[in-house]
Amino acid sequence: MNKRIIYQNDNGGVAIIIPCDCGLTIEEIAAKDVPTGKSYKIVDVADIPTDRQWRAEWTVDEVDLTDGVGE
Amino acid sequence: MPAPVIRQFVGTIPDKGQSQTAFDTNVDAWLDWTTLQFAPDLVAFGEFASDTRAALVAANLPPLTGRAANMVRVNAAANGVEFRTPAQVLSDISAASVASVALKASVASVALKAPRASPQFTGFPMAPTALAATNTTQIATTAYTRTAIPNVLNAAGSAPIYACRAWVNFNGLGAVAIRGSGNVSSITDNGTGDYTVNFATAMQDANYCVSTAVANAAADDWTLNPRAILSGAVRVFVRRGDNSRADADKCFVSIFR
Repeated sequence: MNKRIIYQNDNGGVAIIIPCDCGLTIEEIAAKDVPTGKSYKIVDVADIPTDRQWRAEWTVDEVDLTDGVGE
Repeated sequence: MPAPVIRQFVGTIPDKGQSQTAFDTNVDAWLDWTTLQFAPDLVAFGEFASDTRAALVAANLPPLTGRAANMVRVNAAANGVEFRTPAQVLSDISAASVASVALKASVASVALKAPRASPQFTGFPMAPTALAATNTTQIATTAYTRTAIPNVLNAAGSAPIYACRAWVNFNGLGAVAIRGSGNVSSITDNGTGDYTVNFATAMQDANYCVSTAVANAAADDWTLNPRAILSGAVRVFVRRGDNSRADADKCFVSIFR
């Protein structure tokens, strides 16, 4: 899949879910694998930085996570 | 049968050179004549055929004397007819009834059989056990599968086999990506050297075994360590030899239960 699911982790950082081709849709994976109550956004792979030197400094504004909430 | 009578058309034969009106009139007259002339012959022929058939039948009949109330049937050779007394007819019917009973039993028996297409057996259906390593459409019995499964898995001896319940091979460097997986719905990139493997179908509990490996070109002392172990997911850390976390390009996680 060329999509990723992002949500804000408990430390204020960014968690990125890389989905598998397991028979579930990206929405089903998001609902299942995003922690309960966490808002998420489905984005393209290209939207994720590839330079991970400052991975711990990545942030996301929670108001932008508008695609759903983990179940 | 009377001898045939020669007749001749007494009108004018239709021919070229006649006026259209005369030609048409002559044609009509010719057709009327032929119809009238040949109709009696056809009737006569029909009577002749009927008489002939009756004569042939009568010739095949046995003498009628003493055959009152008898019935007639075609003989076994199918080349004539024969008389049957009432007692013989009853015997014939009785024999047919026996055959009918046998047929009914056969029909009832067939009704209990499973169809050839998609049969649904009940009870304990059995089949010949296929030879080891058979790879055809032959039915595999329980005896065959108990031998065939360890053989296919190259598992010699009698020790039980426990299957891998989930696995994933992923790249934790750069654009984190999954190379291959089984029963894994996703991995979560939580941060540097910090990943969660999410199972597509959860384990029965969290008492499973996590087998991990990590490969990194920079050093040989890195490890991939399971941390939070849940029935639906396991979180793993990649650590350098100094215990700091790092991203690795080849991360392997297998789950056994």
